[in-house]
Amino acid sequence: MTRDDSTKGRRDFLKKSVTGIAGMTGLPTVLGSCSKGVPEAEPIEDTAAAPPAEAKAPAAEGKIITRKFGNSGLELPIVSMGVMDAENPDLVRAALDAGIVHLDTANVYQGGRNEEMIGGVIKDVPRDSFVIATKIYEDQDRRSGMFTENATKETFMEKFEQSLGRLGLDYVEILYLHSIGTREATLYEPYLELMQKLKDEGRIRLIGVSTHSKEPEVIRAAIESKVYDVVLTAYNFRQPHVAEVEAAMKEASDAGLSIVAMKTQAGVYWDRERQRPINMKAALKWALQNDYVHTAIPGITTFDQLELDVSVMKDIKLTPAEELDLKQDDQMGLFCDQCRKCVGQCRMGVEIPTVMRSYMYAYGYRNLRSAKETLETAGLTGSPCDQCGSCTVDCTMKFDVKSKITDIARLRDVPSDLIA
Amino acid sequence: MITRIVVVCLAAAVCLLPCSARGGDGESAESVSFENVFPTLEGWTPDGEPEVFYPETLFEYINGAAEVYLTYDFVALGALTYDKGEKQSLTIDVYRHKDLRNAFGIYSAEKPEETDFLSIGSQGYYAKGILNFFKGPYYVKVMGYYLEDDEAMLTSIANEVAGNLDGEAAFPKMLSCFPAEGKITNSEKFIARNFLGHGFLHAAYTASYDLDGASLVVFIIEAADAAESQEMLNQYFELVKSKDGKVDESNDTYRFVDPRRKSAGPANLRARDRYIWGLFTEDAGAADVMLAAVEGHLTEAGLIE
Repeated sequence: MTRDDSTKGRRDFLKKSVTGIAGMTGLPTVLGSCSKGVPEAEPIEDTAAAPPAEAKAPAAEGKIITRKFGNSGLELPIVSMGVMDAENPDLVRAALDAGIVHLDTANVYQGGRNEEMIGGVIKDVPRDSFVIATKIYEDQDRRSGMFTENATKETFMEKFEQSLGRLGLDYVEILYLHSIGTREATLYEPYLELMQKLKDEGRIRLIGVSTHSKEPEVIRAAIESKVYDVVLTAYNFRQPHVAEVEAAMKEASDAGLSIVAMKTQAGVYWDRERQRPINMKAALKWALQNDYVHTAIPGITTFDQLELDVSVMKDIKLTPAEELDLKQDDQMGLFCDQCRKCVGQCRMGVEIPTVMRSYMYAYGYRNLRSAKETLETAGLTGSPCDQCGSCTVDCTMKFDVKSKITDIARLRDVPSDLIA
Repeated sequence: MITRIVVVCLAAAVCLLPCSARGGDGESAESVSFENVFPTLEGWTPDGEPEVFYPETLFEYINGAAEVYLTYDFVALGALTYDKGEKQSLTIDVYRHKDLRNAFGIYSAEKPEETDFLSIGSQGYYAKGILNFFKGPYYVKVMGYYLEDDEAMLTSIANEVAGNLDGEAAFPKMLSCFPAEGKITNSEKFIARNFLGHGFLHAAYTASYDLDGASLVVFIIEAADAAESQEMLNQYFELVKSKDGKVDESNDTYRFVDPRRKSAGPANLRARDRYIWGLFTEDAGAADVMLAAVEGHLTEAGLIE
């Protein structure tokens, strides 16, 4: 397929899916109704051929699943591209050719080179066939989470103009106030006013806020503001407070806001040694099972990842094997389930469940005091594992018991008064 | 104060990496210490003890940016904030990476294309409210809030921190293997993995060139050993052939079109020992000159025979 053919194919797709909403609402363009004075993209044929996908139903074979973007008039494929770490423009081109529409970047990514790279790609692509989200990070006090003196309307505007320049665009579809972690910062009036002004001028279509921490607080503040259209939030199957995040997502959806999910693949590895990769496809599917997630932005840096993520665009149903993968104990390498089946298996008589609890306190909870106290109750003496050629313990969780004992036993040599 | 810092660092040492995970070339847990790194600043009060973050907890401190740091084999972060009066504060973040090349890598990923670079540590630069530099395995950020003449203040503090850090104030030696002619000053980078978007290509150094108006990027891929280098090449060639492409080999140079990077022009590669070097360009003559020049530097540096 030539580049032209490919582009035509993409535009056909857009007519059928992304802009299905345009037909339904009478909007002339992808986001035509979002603001006053918006530079209009080329009108797209009204097809109304593809109704919005049911969130939990897998699409018919070969069809990309799309979801409506809140009240915005936008409808996007459920998988978008987090471009942050990508450096190869051909990877972005391949993503667009594969049906990805929404590219997520930020003013700060790669010192601005990320936006420049995207700009180099999209200059050859029809403006109505892609959606760009970028973000402005303004200096924050890490303790209070509030903006510092270095964060002003002027600095914000300087960065915004810089972003548009790098991208080679007159407007972006989504502009996020980036990396917000408090209600107060979310509702910071000067930036709300500024972004509303940019929206009124048609230089942005949707106002967003991105959050990686205290997500429920930020999502609820976004609702309260009555200014934000979109929240970009961390969301994955390993979040300790995932129920709270989901509750806030529902409230946002009820209020007409859209949710874009990030960090859906939950840190990539199960273990701190980064040896056991998470089933990324399953993790992405898991996030997209939630109807309130309108699209997700997995970070894509390789063609293999792209292929994997694109496959999810057409099928979000978890297979039994994938479900099983996600049911692995979040920290299998750390958390002993205390089944005690190992008791008596150790030739040296080590009280293994207690030692494993110590290991869990040290590495799982980072509580060295409890780890040391627990270790002391195990009555460990000497270096028991040094005297065994091979370990006779068969752990039901497949722990490498010998290495864990050897490792945590070192804590006995650390004086108690040096442990905070 | 020092005792408390030792406590935190000892915790880091114990918690950082289990011996079973370290292997032969891993970081020694005992070597991770931020003792004596944070200076005593006259008129400034430290806000408690330095906080230490690890790969599992870095997200708590820098949110989504943590992912990039982890890519560059982040080991631990020591962070301390100081206060002065009611408003003024400054924060020193000392990121410890596995080695110099990874510290340089994250520094090079974040540095602007053009700025006035400073001789702090190996190199640094100032932007409003922040001064970043790297030295040895450390990448350091000094941030000031409500400071008068913050550039002078941050520069002074950064120099003091740099003096407290072990490691050589140098650049990775590999950078000297990029020919000087036409090279854009300070354009060098280190990419830790997935070079060119290919999962099978690992770490690479790059430098940008302006040769008679043509923009080129020259790269040197550094494998762990010759076998890994050969495996990378094999997988690359397999990819090309799987897309009906062809790999031409002549005069020790491989030429082919990367099916996933067609817009860059043909790839021109040479490989020896654990190194693969190359560039993308239609101009085979210019490519040969550059490849030979890199080869000369690698030989001179004793990296290839």
